[in-house]
Amino acid sequence: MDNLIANTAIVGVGSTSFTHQATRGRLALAVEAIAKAIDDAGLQPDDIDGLTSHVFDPTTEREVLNCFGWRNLRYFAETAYGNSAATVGVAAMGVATGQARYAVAFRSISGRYGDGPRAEQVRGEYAFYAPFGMRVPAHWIAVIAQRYLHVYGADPRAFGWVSVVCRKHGATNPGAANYGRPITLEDHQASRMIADPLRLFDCTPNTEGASAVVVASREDARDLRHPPVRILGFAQGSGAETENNTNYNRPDIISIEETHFMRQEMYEKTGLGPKDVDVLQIYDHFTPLVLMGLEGWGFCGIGEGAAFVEGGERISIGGEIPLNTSGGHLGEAYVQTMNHIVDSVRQLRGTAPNQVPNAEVSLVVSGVNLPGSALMLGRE
Amino acid sequence: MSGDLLGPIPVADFDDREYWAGCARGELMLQRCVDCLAFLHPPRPMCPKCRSMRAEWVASKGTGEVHSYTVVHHPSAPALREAVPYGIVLVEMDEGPRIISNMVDVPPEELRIGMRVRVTFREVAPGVSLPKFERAE
Repeated sequence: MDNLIANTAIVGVGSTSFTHQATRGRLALAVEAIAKAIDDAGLQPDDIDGLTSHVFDPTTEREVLNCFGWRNLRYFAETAYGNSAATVGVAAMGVATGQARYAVAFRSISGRYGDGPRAEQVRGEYAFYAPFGMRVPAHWIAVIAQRYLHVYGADPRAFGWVSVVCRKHGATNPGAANYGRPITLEDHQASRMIADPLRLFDCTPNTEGASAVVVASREDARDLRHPPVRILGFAQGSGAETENNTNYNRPDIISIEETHFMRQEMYEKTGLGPKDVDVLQIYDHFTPLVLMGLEGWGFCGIGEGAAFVEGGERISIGGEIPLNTSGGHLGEAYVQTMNHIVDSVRQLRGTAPNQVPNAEVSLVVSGVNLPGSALMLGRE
Repeated sequence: MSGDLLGPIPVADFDDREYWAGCARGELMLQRCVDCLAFLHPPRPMCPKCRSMRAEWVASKGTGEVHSYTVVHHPSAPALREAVPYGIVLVEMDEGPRIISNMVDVPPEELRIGMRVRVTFREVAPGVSLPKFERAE
């Protein structure tokens, strides 16, 4: 089967500033990032005829097209489960099949999150969790993390090394919400316990910001402003017994099963493997899942994630596999990996804030413990 | 230790009506496929093993072991300020299904993976009970 996605490229990227404050609405953030991405591509807003968005982002295509005054968007789709790789992948599918010529994928997050669940009643899936005090994502993940430590005899400081490295990368990225604010492993260990074994610095902070990406065909991409960044492969995957991160009735709750399926498809489609990846971006809402991602994608063996990240050097810039080089969610901003994708594009252009020398291939892994997605990007 | 309600009240829906009705009368009911005898949890309209849509409800023996747990220290809602720290356990029932709950007689610092437990019930609202667990060793 032809890998049609490989005929497409990312030609423009844009992000707003990122902050821990709530200063603007999500629509204002979205249209700023989209306008920047279109300009970065050297295109005009009226060149855009496709738009893909996140189900988790209440900003709709309608609101965006009302801002830009677009009258004939030919292609639009919402992608689920917080997967920006899927949002970009579905934009690329539109381009690859001729449904759109220039498609934009975006994700916007407002800093105003409200005060948490206030509902007095709950039904369906969450009725099996919320009444028992399991109410926020940190709780869902903590149970998985605890089992991971138990099965592999790992030390929770391993989670800390992920946080330290992401914060280190964010600290030298002027666009990051945590710019100039690195942490040490001691800071991580001293941070307050949220839900054992997750400490404050294992959890992504709320941020405000938006990122957007423009996709075109490789042919159209040649004439645009920047060297295009090819989409070499796109994979989506689901595992058995999938809930919203809980997945507790999977046979093995500490392997992100969908990752194993996506890995096989991605490496087969692209002919590439972990050794070929120069920049790795993994959805880092909570540090333990990064270890499982490193394992699932074959950067280390199953159960070896904790040893692999010890000391942080292997996953730092200059190390074996530089991880979340803009800071990721922990260090830069929580834009559900759309910011990771923007960073990968800049890495492959050679213009990233924390440049990996001669970066040629980048893997972005979005959405974990839910049906997930991934993109393999490469220099033209 | 918590026999209390630590969140919203569960309301039965189409597929889990028998589960919550069982809790209300003090029985942990599990959904089981009539055709291949696989347990289905959380409840659902089709068996993922054999795709049968014929299910029955059987009473669990009520015993299992702690598969994992967490201790919540940070209150995620103002109403939980007095409740923290509290433990959440993931119990693997001897029949196979895994259920999230709380221990009523084990302080958070004594929670351990592998701990044998037995179901018990606590009424948290008129006619609504939650399955909770107590030590069984």
